Parts: sequence; structure tokens; C-alpha cells
Amino acid sequence: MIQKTLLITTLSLTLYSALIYWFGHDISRTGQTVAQRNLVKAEEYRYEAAEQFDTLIVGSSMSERIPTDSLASSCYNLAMAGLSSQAGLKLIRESGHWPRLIYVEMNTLLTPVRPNELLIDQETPVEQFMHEHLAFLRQKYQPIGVFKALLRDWQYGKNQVVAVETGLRVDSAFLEKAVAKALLDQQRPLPDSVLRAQVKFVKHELDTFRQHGTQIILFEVPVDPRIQQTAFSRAIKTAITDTFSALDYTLVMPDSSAVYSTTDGVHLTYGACFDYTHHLCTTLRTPRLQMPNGVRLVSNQP
Amino acid sequence: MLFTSPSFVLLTLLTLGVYYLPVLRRWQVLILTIASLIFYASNQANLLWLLLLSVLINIAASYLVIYGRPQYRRFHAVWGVVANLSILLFFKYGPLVSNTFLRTDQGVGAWLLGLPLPIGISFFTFQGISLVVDTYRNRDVPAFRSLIAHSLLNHAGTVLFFKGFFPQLVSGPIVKAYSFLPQIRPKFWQHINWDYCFRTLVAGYFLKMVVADNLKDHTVLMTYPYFEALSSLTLLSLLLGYSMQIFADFAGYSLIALGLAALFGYQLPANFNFPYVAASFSDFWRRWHISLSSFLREYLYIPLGGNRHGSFRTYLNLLLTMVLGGLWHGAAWSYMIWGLAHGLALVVERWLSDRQLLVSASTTARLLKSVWVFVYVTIAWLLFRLPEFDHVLAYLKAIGLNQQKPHDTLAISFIMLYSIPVVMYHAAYVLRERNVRLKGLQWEFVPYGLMLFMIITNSGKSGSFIYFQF
Repeated sequence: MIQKTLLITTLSLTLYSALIYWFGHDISRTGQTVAQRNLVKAEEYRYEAAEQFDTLIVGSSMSERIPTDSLASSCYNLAMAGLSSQAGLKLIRESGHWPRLIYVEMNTLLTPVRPNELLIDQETPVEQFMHEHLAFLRQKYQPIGVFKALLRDWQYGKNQVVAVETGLRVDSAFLEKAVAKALLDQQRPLPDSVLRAQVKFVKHELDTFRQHGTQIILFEVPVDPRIQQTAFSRAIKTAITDTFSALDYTLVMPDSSAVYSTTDGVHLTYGACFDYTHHLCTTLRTPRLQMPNGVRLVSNQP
Repeated sequence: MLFTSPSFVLLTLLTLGVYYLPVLRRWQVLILTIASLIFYASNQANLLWLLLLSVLINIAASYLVIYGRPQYRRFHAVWGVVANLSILLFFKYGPLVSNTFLRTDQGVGAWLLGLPLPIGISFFTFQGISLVVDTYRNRDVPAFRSLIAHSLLNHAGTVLFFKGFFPQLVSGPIVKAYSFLPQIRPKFWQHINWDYCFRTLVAGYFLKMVVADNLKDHTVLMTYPYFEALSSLTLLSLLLGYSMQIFADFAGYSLIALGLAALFGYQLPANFNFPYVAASFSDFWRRWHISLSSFLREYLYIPLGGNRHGSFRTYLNLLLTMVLGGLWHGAAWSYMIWGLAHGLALVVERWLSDRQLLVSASTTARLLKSVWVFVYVTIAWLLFRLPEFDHVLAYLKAIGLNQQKPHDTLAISFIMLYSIPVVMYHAAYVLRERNVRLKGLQWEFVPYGLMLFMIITNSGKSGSFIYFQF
């Protein structure tokens, strides 16, 4: 029984490996859940995309919806839901590839990487070797996820068109509850010592990238104005702008005259996300723009 | 170090290799004890002292019950149980007391709130109680007395091994002293039942890594207030998914524990017996977490009087046992309410059966009862997933109100897909029970082979076992 079982398993793995080898390039967006999408993204970057893309976005779910092709023709969105910009920076640093440009989301820049949240960074060299050479061990090629992706592509085609209007519907009752929860979560500002330590850590991290010739653009994703005004949010924003504008980093703030709608206080609707991306692109193409809050923006053509 | 981590597999393989070396046969217990301590320390090294303190208490209490002065035997048993319970109460329920009765921002309240929860404390405490109580109850039984070595050092080694044996250390099954101690004897490689070990481990890892760990990433949507944005159907699917997840998680863990213990020549009690086919609540508790329910029956319900003092006392004992059983699961009032809900169900069921109102034995009646028990049990799991009672009510309310919201078809599909193995697992049992001859049994290596394939390729993001927190 044991021998036959092992034979069946080996046979299945061999067939599956052949399938991945022949059709792997047609398989995309296989993540089944938010957590898995993060892992797939991280694995995909490490094992397939690191050398292909010279422009990257790091951040949280707030930046996940940013349409990458608006920013650059060769841009990989490494923003991961539930994680922070630091997680993405860590992945890039560990990959050993120094990209030309990184867009760094400011909102979660001071949120440290929690233990166990980024499983891929805990892989031993043996595991890394196995994941690199045995594709069936990667999250991207989980059979159920692959089945889902193939089914989706078969039903909707490879390039699924999403109407922006579908993302404009906002459940206002839910929005209020979500904002209330976010306000509750952000009731207490971070202690100064924690804030200082994080700023110091992040500065060191970003300086390392700059030393390797990587250009950094820090951008703030707009959130519900009530959340933007909490002591927690303001303290983080001040700490970042004070530190990095003085160091001649490029910072992009949301358009203060625009109204961005969110689904839950922190995530932009698809429509608002397009508006914001447009603003981001326009701002970056305007040389030496002086922002109302005094942050100096340096012209950078991504 | 989780059962699913490569480091654990390495530890097990190394221990197994050393354990069966003929020259080291007389040190087998010591080898397993060292491996167990490494396992515990790798999870929570800073609280290893607490496990050892608990072991010391049980060494002393059980030894004194047998070899102490006869007139103090009862006293030794009582302080042994009280000391065990005190550790549990202090570490597990200190934060609850603090949250409920004290100021949590300063003084004792803040200190209690900051207490760490030792992994597996509920399990190793109950095993300690079992050792002390079993020793006291069997103090005059020569066969049991012989298990308590006269040499204090040997006895200490036995107790440390009994409480620390790593397959069951952190999440059970809760092993009773009278069933485990007689198994401590030299083990031989050729006596390993490889077929049993292989099947149990493959089924256990499949349930945990493929079913539970994948469902876990979907049921994360059951978070307040985010679930309020989901449709009724999505919410019902999530609830079903959580019910399947908690079964797959704990039953999977228990199967792995059984398989691992069998590799070392020890037989642990089965912890699950297809609980979701239960046709009554008492049947459910004979099938779910069997080692806990039998512990509660033997060491709490029966000592309280069981059903020997009339209907009212029986109902009261049932309620009390289930409420305490609920609180055993976690230091939150929601767990107590969960226990109360099950206690009430048992009381009502008993009241009905006392009056011969549950006598229909037709297949349809049995099926309906099974469905009812499953629905009730599944709704009660909400108290596990959402420890805030207000959030539980909000969830139930959302099920009723959110009929017009769009369905999350992807989440629903995945939940159904990952729930299929649990349904099939139970269905196969029902068919076996009904003596339906399943064709193709000689091909059973195919599903096992595919399960192994799925473990390798389709495991979810590794997460703690739900019962680790208890």
C-alpha cells in the first residue's frame, strides 16, 4: 500500500511538472485568497520577475489597485494586502536585484514587518533552492489556484475588463462602521521612541537602495479625511515628511482639492484609484512643483 | 515548531533514528523526553520552567499518594489537584479576571493582562490531574501501584515523559495515566505498524494542511465589521467553512499525533469519531474531542454526582460540566456561553428523551436530527471565531438582512471545494456503518497518493492549530 501510494504521488508530480513546464507561461493570477496572493506575488517576484522589472511599487492593499502600466511600461506591483511597504522593501533587498525605481507607499512605511507575516523571507536556502527548481512547490502553481485561473481565463479571456463604475458603489452604512473601527484602532498615537526608531530604520533601508542607484519616490495614498486627521496618522505623516523631504527624497501627496471616495475608509474605490494614479503621474511629470504643505517635489520622469 | 514545519519533521526523524538503536534501547524514554523538551522549548522556551514545575507537582503528589503515610493520601491527592488547577487558573484566566474586574492600565490588572499563555497548559494540566486522581483511585490496585516506581528518580522520569510526550504535549489527545503508563516499556522497530502510521499521518496532514489551512485563509473574512459587507449566502458559506475548518484542523492534528505516537510504539486514544454525523448532542460529544469529553465525564460530571441524584441534579451537573468545559477552551466569556449553549442542548435533549419524545428511529428522523445537531453546533462555532458576543449577534443579524448584497462567488466556491473532503470523510463512514460494500477498495492507494500529492502542492499558508490557544 505505501509503495503504491508513493508511486501514484510521484507519477502525479511528474505529470504536473510537465504541465507547468509546457503551459506555465499561460498561468497567471492564481492566488485564491488575499494571503495567498501576497505569497504568489512575493514568489513570482523572487523567482520570475526580479530581473524583468526595473520599476516596483511597494505598499499595502491601499496601493494594490494602482494600475502599474500607468506608471511605467515595466512596472511590477509588489504592494501586498495586510502587509506594509517595509515588507516589499525587504523582499527586494533579499532578492539581490536593485531596481531603477521604487514607488514607496508612505501610509504604511513605518509599520514594521511582523514575525511570520512574510513566510517567504523565512525560507531556508534549501527551501529556496527547491522552490526555484521545483515549480510545483510554489504557491503560484497550487493545483486549485491553477484550476481557478484556467477556468477564469476560459470564461472571461486573459485580459478581463472591469468597468470602473462597478467600483464606484459605496455601502455608506458599512463605510461608517469601518471608519469608526479604524478611528478606534488609531486612537492612541505611536510613542515617540517607537516612531523615531522606525524612521531611523526606514531611512537606513531607503538610503541603502539609493546607494545602489535606485531612485525612491514616496507617495501617500489618500484615505477618508477623518482617518487622515487622527493624531496617529498625522504623527506618521509628519515624521516621514520631515525626515525625507530634508534628504531630497521625492514625495507625492494627494491632491488636497480632490475628493477621493473609499469603500471602507482606507481603500480607494476603483474610480478614485484611477483619479489618484492620474494625479500621481501628472505630479511626477511636473518639474519642481511646490506642494501647499511645503514639501518640495523633485522632477522625476519614471 | 509546528507539526507541519520542516524543523519538526527533522526532529522527528532524528529522534526516530536514535530511539530504535538497539544499544540505546534502555534509554528510549529519556530520548523521547529530551526530544519533547526540545519541541516545547522551540515553541516557548521562556515557559519551559512552568511545564517542569507542573511536572514536579505531579511527581510529588502521585508519589506521596502511594508511598506517603496512608492517612495523608487523600490530602496529597487534593493538594495535587488544587496545585494543578491553580497554575491553570492563574496563567489562563488571570487576564480574563483582569479584563473583567480590574483596571487594566495599571497595577495588578495590567500585570495579569500581560501574562503569557503557556502553550498546551490546558492539556498538560489535565493530564497531571488524571495522574494524581488515577493514582489515588487505584492506590490499592497492585497493577497500578507497580506503575509508580519506588525510586523517586525513576518515577520522576516517568511523569516527565507522561506529561511531556511531544505528539500530545501541546494539543492532546488528553491521555489518562491508567491508559498510558502501562505502555511504557521497550519498543522495537519491527513492531511498528507502518501501514497504520502512514495512513494516519497522510490523512492528518491532508486535513490540516490542505483543508484547514486553506479554509483558514477564506474564513478570515469573518472579521468584524468586514463581514457586514457580505451577502447572506456568503456569510452562511463562511460559517459552514469555519465548521469544516475547525474539524479538519483539530481532527487533522489529532491524527498526526496518533500517527507520530504510533511511530514510537505508543497508542493514543482516538479523539474524533466522525462527529458531524451525530444524531444527538450526547452522540456529538461522544464523537468530538473524545479525550476531553471523557475526561470531563470521568473527573467532573461523575464526581459531581452524574445522573445518580435525580433529574434536576443531572441537568445541573450537565450544565456545570459543559460551562466549565467551555471555559476550558479559552479565557473569554464567549467560551462560557458556548459551553452553556451545548449544556442547554444536552439538558433539553435529556429532558425530551426522559419523556420518550425522541424515540423515532426512522432514517428520515435520524437524518433530520443529524442536520439539526450540525446546524446548532455550527452556529455555536461562531462564538469561537468571534470572541465578542456583540459581533456574533451582528453576524447572525447580517445573515438575515444581507440578502440583497452581491455574493462573493469565488470565496463560496473555494469553501465548498475545500469542504468536500470533510463531507466525503463522513460519508464514507456512514456507508461503512451501513455495510455498503464500496467498490474499488483495492485501489485505495490512489486517493492516498493524491492526498499526498495535494499535501505537497496545495497546502495552505501554515498557521497555528486552533486548539494550540487552548
